[in-house]
Amino acid sequence: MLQLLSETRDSMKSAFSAPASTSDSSSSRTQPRIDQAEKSMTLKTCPSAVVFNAFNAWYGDFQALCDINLEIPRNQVTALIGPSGCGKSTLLRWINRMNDTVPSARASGELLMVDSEDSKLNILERSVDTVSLRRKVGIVFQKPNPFPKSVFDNVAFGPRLHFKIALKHLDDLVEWSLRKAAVWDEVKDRLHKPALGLSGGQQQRLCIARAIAIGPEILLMDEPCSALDPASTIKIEDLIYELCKQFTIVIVTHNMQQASRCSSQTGFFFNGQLVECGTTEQIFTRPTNKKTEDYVTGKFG
Amino acid sequence: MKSLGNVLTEAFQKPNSIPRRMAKAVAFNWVCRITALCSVLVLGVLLYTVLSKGLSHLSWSFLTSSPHPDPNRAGIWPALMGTFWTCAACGILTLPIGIGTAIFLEELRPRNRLMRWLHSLVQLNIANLAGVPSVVYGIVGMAAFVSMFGLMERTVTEKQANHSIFEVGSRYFDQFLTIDDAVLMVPVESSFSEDTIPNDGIVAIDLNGKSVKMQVVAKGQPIPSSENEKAVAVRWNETPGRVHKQAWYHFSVPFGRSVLAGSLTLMLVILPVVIISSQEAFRSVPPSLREAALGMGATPWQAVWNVTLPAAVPGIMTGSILAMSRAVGEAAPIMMISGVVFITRAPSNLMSVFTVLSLQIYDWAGRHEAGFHAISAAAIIVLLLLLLVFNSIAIVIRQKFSRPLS
Repeated sequence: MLQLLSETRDSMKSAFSAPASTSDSSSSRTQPRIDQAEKSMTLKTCPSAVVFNAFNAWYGDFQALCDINLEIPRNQVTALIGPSGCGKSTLLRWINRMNDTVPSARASGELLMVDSEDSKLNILERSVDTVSLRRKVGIVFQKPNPFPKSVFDNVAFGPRLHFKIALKHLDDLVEWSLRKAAVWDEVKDRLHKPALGLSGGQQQRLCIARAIAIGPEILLMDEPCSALDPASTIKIEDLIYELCKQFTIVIVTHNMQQASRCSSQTGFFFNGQLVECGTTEQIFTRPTNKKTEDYVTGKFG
Repeated sequence: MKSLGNVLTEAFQKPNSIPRRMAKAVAFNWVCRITALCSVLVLGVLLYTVLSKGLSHLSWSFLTSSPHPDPNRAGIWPALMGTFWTCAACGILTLPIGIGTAIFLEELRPRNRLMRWLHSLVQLNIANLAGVPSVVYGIVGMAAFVSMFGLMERTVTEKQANHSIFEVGSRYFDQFLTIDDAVLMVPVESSFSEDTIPNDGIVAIDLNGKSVKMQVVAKGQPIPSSENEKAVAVRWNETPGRVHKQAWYHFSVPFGRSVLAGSLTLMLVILPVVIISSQEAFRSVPPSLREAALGMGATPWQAVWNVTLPAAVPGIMTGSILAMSRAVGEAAPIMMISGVVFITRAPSNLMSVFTVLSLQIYDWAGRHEAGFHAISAAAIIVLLLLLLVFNSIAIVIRQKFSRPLS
């Protein structure tokens, strides 16, 4: 418990001292968000945060994922693309064991979470404590799902679950999370109003703020923009770019442009198989597989 | 084979008559209206008979006086209080069990095979229990709570009217009559102790609550002449009568024909309804909220307590209040527990004997004198008002809390 608390304190400290302020990120929107060439360079040297080794997943008798080998680099954005039903959401939901809520779901192989000290944890093991796993691996869902509580209580929900935290620090933490999620300026005057009164885009950023308020290491995003209008989508993409400085991000998306805009690594899934995985630049400009090429150029899917 | 075009042209030549279709629609409309009116009509007739008979008897003294052999002086105070006591106790007992079961069934889906089997067994049983007639529950309550299957009884002498094996909040006294017919009470250690034998110098309590020393007049001795001495003197062959005084927290096992046994039986009657409506309330909470809480590392308990339970409370409350209004009206199970008895005092604790409004109505309506029929109608009005209050509370709660959840 103490260790967890000190971890958050550290993450808060580093967050507050981080030079980049999210409020001015909108001005940088016109510039390309990621220098792809530079990213490809760093990607090779980047340590992994999550490693899939011969990973299989089933729902009952239906095999949703076959023999997946994938490394997700630390502090980078990994996009998972592919047609509907190809298993990318399943993969995402196994990383923080959200599939435990599905009675028929099971998996085999290795799904390792590697922390900064390079110690490995097989997430699939029964003995893994899902509560502390999910504190380290946050998730943002497709549809914004704020609790029917105030904006403040929504963000404070996670910290209250995990830490004994003084109200003063809680105020700071909520402000930090909302600033990080680029929604602070819009909600600072209505912190104690119901979160359901916010617009869809604001609600989704609130959900992101809620997910990062417990200081996760990895942030999973399951089509976070599919229910939003283009303006909100752009805001969230900017946000993803900002957040990857601090968190490892895995994003599932149907929007190819989105994948190419904000990720540094892209994996293409088809029929439960990882067809191709590489730097985003390579996948979108020089795909080695015919299927990948057809998909990213819009010939199917 | 005809082509599609031919079939269509043929069909177009034989249209259904529009007026006939409209006439059917109008007829259907009227059938629905009449069926709706039927139920209103029945309610109207009921209200008219009850109001015309009973309204004139409804008065403050009717509410606050006890049943009486003379219908004009009879009232419903003990029955009204009995209804409140049983319903309050029934609500307090039912809500935690009902909500707990609903949480088990809806929120905590077990993965383990044995527990899954138990889970479906409970689910199946609850669906079946909802249809069991309430008089059956009365018999069950009779066996389980009133006598506890005869397992919890103590063999007692005829004089010790107390059968319980465990008891708190009750003090027993042996009661003696003095020579001038005043009452002296000797506190008894417990209900298990032997009768007190009249003895010179035993400390007793007189009618004023003062401690006094008893004086025994032996056989053949003269009766004391002074008033002061007479007030504490009893005869040598005086036999004690056992009486008891109960505190508000008086509790004993087995429960006997008490308020507690009645409310436990009513609990059995409404528990399936409460569980099913609570389950429905939990089911209507959007799964996305549950996932959001679990996805942030909430334990199942934290997710239920902080997210799903608050969202389900309006549904649970409406269902439970409607179930309670059923409990208010139940007569059959209570009749098994308390019987049709003449009770003149409101219950003072959970172990009191009691009667309820519906039973009082049943009792009065079954008598021969017309006067009792009239006051029975007046009691029905009170019961209907009570039900109206319950249902209005349910509606208010539904209106107040029914806000969008996602």
